[in-house]
Amino acid sequence: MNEADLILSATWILVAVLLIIQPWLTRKNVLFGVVFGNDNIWKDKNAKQIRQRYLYAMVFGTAGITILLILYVTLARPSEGTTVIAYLIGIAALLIFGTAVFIAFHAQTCTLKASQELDANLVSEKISIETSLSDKQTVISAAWLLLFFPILIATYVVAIAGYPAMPAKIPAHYNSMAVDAWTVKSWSTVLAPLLTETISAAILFVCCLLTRRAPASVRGNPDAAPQYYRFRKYMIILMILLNIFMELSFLFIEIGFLTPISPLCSDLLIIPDLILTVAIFYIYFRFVRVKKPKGPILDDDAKWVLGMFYFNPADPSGYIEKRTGIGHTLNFARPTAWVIIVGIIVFVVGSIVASTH
Amino acid sequence: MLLTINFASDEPIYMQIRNAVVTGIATGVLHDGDTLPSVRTLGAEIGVNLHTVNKAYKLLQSEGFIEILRNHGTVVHAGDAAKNAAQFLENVGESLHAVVSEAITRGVDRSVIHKMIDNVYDEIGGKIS
Repeated sequence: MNEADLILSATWILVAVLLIIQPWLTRKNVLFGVVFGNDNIWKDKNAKQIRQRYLYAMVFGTAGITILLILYVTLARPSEGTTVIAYLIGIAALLIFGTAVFIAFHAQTCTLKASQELDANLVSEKISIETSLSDKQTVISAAWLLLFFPILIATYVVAIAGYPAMPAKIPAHYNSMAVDAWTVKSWSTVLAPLLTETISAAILFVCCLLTRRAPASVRGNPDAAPQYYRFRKYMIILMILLNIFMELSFLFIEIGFLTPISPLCSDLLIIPDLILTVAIFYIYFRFVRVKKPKGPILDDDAKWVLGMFYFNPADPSGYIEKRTGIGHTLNFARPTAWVIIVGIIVFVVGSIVASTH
Repeated sequence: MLLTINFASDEPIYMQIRNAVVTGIATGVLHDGDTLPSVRTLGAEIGVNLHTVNKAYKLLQSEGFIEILRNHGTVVHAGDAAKNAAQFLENVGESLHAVVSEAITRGVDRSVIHKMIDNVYDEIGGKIS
């Protein structure tokens, strides 16, 4: 198995596992995008059965799609390009299947909720806010985000100012010990890593920016998501650190163009990357899964179409946190949401067309 | 202070914000110098238009319950005068509500009530000054 296959397989497994364990990642009072008054629902017999059926459906479904892909690749022996296309179609199939199953179980959970007695904790039209908390206490300072720039700028400086000093042949690939492939120096080969670095940093930057605030229209009340301010601060700091190590690996690539450096430098970065990834999951688990929601909880099921799309014309926010507590989604009642969706589609289609011509 | 907004209520949201602050001052939950969230923060938190929050804050400012300082945000003004006024508004709210309800059921136009209040103010105010 070569490196590309390894990355594709790892991504495949990650997508499949995340789809399968989805209900075990959300807050305990939210099941398939349906909000309940407290986390007793997690221990409810019927809810357990719903989760179990979901687990079976997802495990068999994803295994089926995986087997189909493996059969196609081993029997038809397609070219490398066709394999990648088959893989991408497979990932799309996984996501569509996962979404369809989620919607089906969302409907089952709605039925379960309707069959239960009305929970006194659930309030449908009331939102509470603690006004004594200042922005300083609840929102991480924007100054932290400046940490995105020093290494990024350093990489640009090394690439652009160092270009004349780079040898005619520059490293194209490293194995664990030394360079195992070389390429001819050109602006495109030297700047390509910068493009990847800038896009990755920009995505993380936007993630941090969006994580800074969480509107109460999603949280419901100060205790529906306990210590959520701290959770968001930790997450942002972890994302900033992750970004610093990511940028460092690109800086090493550009320095490697100038003068040979040991691949060990980049390899060692995997250690903090792994530690940070584990830390992100740990903090997520500690704050979202372990903390118990208290007090009135906003029942805004009606504003979440199929439990996953937020549609609330009364809410001016364009981006809002997912009700599960992690990630963001668009408010599809705002025109900007549709502009962004169309923009992304145009970008993806455009880049595919551009790469094939 | 815990500010609760009821979207199902007939009362406009800006009035709910205003009333919550007035009640907070009257009941001693809000103290002199306490800060309130900025218009932007509160709007984003509740999920309402910034103009709605601005309207509430402007009203509170004109009534003397808060001060909007350029660099220090929105500060509660709960001095004795403000506290008295807040307490009065709190106490009189229900009886005023009853008077207006009766006026509506009896078909008395709001301009007549306005005029009546003006007259009483003139009459008593004239005597005091």
